[in-house]
Amino acid sequence: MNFLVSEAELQAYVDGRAGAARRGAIEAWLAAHPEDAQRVAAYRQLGEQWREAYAAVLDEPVPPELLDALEERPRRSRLVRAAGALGVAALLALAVSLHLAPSPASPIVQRSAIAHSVYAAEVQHPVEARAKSEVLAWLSERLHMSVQAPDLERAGYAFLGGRLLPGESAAAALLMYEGQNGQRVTLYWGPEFRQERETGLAFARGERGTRVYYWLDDECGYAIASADLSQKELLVVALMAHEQLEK
Amino acid sequence: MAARPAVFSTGVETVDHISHLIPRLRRYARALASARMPADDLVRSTLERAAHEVSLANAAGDLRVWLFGLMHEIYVRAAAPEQASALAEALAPRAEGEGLPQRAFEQAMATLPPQQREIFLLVTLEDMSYEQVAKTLNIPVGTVMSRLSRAREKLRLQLTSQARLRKVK
Repeated sequence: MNFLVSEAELQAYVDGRAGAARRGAIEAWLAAHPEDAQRVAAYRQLGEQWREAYAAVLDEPVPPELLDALEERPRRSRLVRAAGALGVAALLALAVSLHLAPSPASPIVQRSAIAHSVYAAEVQHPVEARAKSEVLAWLSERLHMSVQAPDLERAGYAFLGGRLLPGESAAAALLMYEGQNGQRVTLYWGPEFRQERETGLAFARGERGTRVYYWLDDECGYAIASADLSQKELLVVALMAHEQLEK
Repeated sequence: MAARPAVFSTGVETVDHISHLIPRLRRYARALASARMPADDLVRSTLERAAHEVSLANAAGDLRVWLFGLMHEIYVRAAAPEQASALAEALAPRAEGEGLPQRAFEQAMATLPPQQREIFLLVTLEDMSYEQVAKTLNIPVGTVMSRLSRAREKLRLQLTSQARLRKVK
């Protein structure tokens, strides 16, 4: 029988994690080595002291700002239903594409976040005062591509209008949507950010708390941005837009 | 209620599970006792990161290991420059009126390098297996064992000498 006991075994014994087969040997060792037995007892006591000293923390109410950090907001339920309407296929596609997301973040993140924070805050003139079809025709002409406004009603966001913007080196477009409580979401069209290899949806944080989901294809870069929505709420909107624009 | 698509509902449930672990994250963060990063700041940063990367949580398998692993990465970045000033931290006056035993434990804890603190607390407070600790901290199990041994011995000596000092007073 092997009576040699390692330090690791003593540690496991302290934690009640020594294998049943070795317990007898360890106890025999401790009986023969009082200084080790003392250490084991002291270590066990340490554990009890620490658990006791910090036990009360478990009963403290969780500060609301910590729950906020998880962004679990009540408006979610409606959006979850909308997500259901999108279908499993789209969500599976997303789960896959999240892992293929481009990195590092594309410059479209910064551009779209700035555009969002400047114009979404505007009460009087967030967008051009023109009819939807007229605005889209005008933006399509200026961007040399077919600019469309995906339908986000199912998620609770109505189309508000659009405007033309300067991008980094070419024209860009910003479409704005609004929810019932005034939350605003923007869809940024940046043809200059297009790339050959199509990316999946990627998440990034922009200026001043703006959250951005974006993707790039061989025609254009698209970014869904909002400072009012949680990441999860924004994801549902982004999925909806992605599904319609990538048809 | 109608069945929701599996992928999305898993995300929502994951967030629920994470929120149930918040008190444990707070206890652990409190015991890590870093003057450079107050406990709730550490927890908040961890939760923000968890929300951000929630789509990766399920691939990671053990949610608790994943979550404490995120906290570990944030803690190590905040605590790294602190090692040298551990003693200063131990002697620094505290603003809040903390209980005496916690104060003594904090002082003892401050003498340990960050990783030994983490190992001791994950084993002691979280009752993690050594394999779980190894995964959380991304180190081999053998390293967990040797550092656990060193951490315990240092804490034992610290508390013994503290007790001796109190008797002398």
